[in-house]
Amino acid sequence: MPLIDTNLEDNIRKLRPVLLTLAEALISGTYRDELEASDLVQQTLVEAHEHAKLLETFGDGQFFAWMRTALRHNVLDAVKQLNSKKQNVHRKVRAADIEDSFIRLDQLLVADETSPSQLLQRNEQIAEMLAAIQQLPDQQRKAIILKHLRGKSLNEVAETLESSESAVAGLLHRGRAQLVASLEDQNRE
Amino acid sequence: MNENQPDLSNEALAELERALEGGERVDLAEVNDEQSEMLRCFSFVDTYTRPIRQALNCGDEIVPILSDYGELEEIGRGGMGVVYRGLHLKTQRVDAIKLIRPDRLALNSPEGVKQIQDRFQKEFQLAARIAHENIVPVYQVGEIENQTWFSMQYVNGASLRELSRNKSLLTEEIVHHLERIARAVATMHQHGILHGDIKPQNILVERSRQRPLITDFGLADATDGLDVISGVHGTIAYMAPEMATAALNDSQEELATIRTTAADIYSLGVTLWSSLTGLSPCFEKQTPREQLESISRGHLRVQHESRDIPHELMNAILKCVALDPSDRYETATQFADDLTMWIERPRWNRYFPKLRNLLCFVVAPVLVMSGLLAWWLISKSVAEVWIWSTIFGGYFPLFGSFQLSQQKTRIAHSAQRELWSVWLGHCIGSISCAASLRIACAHDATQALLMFYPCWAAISAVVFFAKSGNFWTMYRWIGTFWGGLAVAIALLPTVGPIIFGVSAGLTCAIIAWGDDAFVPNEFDLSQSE
Repeated sequence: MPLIDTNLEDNIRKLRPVLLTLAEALISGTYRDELEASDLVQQTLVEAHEHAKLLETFGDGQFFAWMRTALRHNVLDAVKQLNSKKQNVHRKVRAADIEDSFIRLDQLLVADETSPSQLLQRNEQIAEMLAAIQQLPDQQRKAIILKHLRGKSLNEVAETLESSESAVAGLLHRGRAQLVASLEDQNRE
Repeated sequence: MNENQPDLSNEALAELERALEGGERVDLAEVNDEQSEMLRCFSFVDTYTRPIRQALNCGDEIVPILSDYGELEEIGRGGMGVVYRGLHLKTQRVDAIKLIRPDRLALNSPEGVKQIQDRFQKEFQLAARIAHENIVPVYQVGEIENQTWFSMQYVNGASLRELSRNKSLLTEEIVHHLERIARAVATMHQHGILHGDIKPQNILVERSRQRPLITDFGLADATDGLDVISGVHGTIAYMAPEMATAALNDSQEELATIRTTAADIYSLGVTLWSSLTGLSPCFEKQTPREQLESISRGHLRVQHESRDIPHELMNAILKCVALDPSDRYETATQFADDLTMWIERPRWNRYFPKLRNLLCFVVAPVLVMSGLLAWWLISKSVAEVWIWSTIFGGYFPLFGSFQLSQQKTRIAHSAQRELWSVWLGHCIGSISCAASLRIACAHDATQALLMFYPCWAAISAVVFFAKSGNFWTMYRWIGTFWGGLAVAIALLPTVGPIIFGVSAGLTCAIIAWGDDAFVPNEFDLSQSE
């Protein structure tokens, strides 16, 4: 059993919901029926424990970067495994997209590139937003992820969730209101 | 479930949702409380999810279609703009086309949108004001769906940042690029334009001609006429301390007064450092706020890591990054001049490729030996002619190594003339000094010999001082040392030849290893081939 640092535990606890939202958003399209986001994240967290010694030395930013890389590999491995089972041109394209997504994500979060003063805390707030999404009820969470992280239209979200557009509009509104409330609460603390 | 039952409020929300998707501007006066709450939540959530959405859905964004151009292909994306590459149909030339990132406009307040559009307009207006070899030129401005775009020269190459990260550039090439960019920045300053965001990412190097071009005037400001846009922008790592302080204080007034050419000169210095080292100028593991704080206090990574940066370049960099703007170079031209001086510095190695080793392993030992031999001959009182021959024999290995190592090219001629004339002057001065002393001490040959050594050391001091004016600054100290040596030899005349010989050998070795004009580098080799 590797000795687990409490600090590492804290970090993992903080990052778990962030990674979960990311993973759900990634597989929400083509793979939503075949892959389970929580499995992929769980696998990533187990790997983090295995590398506890190394991760102890990382700062918060690098820790998140390591976790993202680990998650990327896990998602890609899972996707490749699925692809080898069934031949499907669509899927091949999607695997390349996932790789691109992570590369863009990394570019987005690199500290050296963030510039204007009003964006100073951006990365942290993005992470808070992703984590807060996990606290939403199931349907609201799915709707928010599809709409705001996958950029689907109201119509497409309704189709995916097998619901009416007005019901989804209600889900989205309540979900957003809760996100705003919980983030404003956090900032007040 | 209640959630799945449509009701009037949900239907209204759905309508609003669809209106936002269609990019319609919602009239705030006509919405009820619940709808306005919905808009507030929407824009809040969208602000923080938008970057992630873009990362996850690359390729989903619609590429604009411009009538003058063929199909556009995205080649870059900055904080504000997105750049495409496209074929200009009439001229059949490949251009770069820049637009405001659509996601930066969506859901921004009308004032915010106006500010972004104003800044974008200013970018091409300022860039179009100057025609300079090293500034990316603006070709054409157009509009599509109320959105302005402009086209500029497409630079086929890589940014200085990519090149320096790959370590694919030599020090001389980087300095050469920065020198030209500094002159371009000086031209901008003369036209009353501040760039505001000079960094290796914004310097593109054309592959075919190895020409550096500065681009991205997105943060540029004119010091005359046009208003200064409020808000501190620019990349933290390359931001001058006074700007960082203003950014921390969020002070608009402060910003308007401190934006000067000195901030651009600071960024030029940091850009040079970063390109030479391939490192980010910020301390890693710092949050952006901590980075701003370090910079505003003048606590910079630049000062701590000089790696293998040549001394003169490091001095120029440190002058650029001085905490007080008045301690920096007054103009970018002065910085460029210092870089030119470094580029044009004498490089013996280029013209005398083997001189360094010859000086160290042949000339230095011979000088020591001839000193010892002269001392021994004087103490044995052998015939005078042998002693003088031993003394002046030391010039043979020196001139011999010049002759053996020099390159037979026209371009090497002036550097060779310099080296030959200095040391032939030393030789002739010494011979005439010896002759005068010999005539003055007509009856005492030994006396003339012992008096000669202090004079010889003094002549050497003069030569080294003369060299320090144009070449290695350490020659000044070597000259001082030889001045002191002249006095020491006069005080200890009997061991004068030994002191002289050993010091001459040591000096040769120090110069061979210390004067970077002798240090070989790949650039020299590539030039000479």
